[in-house]
Amino acid sequence: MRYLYHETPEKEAEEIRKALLNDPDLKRKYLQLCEGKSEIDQVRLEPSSKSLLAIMSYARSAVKEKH
Amino acid sequence: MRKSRCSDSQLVALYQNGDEKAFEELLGRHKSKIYTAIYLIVKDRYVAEDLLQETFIKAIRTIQDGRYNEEGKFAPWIGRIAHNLAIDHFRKNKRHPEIILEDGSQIFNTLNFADNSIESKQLAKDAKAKIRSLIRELPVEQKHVLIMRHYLDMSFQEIADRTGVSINTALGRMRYALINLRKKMIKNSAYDKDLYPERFNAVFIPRDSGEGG
Repeated sequence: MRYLYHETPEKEAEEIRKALLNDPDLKRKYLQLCEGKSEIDQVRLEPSSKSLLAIMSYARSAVKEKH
Repeated sequence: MRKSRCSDSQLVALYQNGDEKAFEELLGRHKSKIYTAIYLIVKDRYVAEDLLQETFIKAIRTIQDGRYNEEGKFAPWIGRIAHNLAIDHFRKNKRHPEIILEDGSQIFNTLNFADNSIESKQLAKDAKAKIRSLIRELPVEQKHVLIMRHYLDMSFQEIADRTGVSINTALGRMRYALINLRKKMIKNSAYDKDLYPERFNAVFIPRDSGEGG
């Protein structure tokens, strides 16, 4: 799971890559998780432009206040 | 320097020095993930919009006050702000009784949302909406690990620390979240066959044998 999310140290990641190449069952399970992950990545909502304008307005006023 | 090529840390530094466009780039990069995470927790677009603004305003104050700590990365840092605000929102509203989980974790006690709300039934107009809806149906512990890892960019170690469980439990919850989500997708035919090949639906999914929570 940590490998899927790029959290493994390089040495460990290399070992996992080798294991995936040599173990079809492990690879199949890994690909299932990859597919689920990519599905979730597609779920993105966009905030309203009104909210973004309000945030940027605050960001500008904070700069003016400081500088 | 083109803002799109700057790292988040560089953009923060530029904004600290008065470059508003740098903050605009940061906002553009992170708005969708943060908003999606908040929305999946609070399930109300108006509240999510408010909390999104509050999240970024807190970030602005921290950066401009010189209190931003560069040791951490920007994405998980602002993710933590958003997460705390979403939790605070539910604590203030106390919509649901607190429940002590088997593993003793308490952080999401008040986050047992109304999963079968009318709004959730109105979703599912397209595949993404279906998936979004299915995420919301996941067991609360799995759903929150998923939200924290996917949309708030927290590491599994940080998720474990924040939820008071071991890292193995956090990893297990994420794994079951992905497996359960796929099961639900297949069951609900969330996959559009024009977009996904038949083999995708036929992939064997191992049966849960351990912790499902």
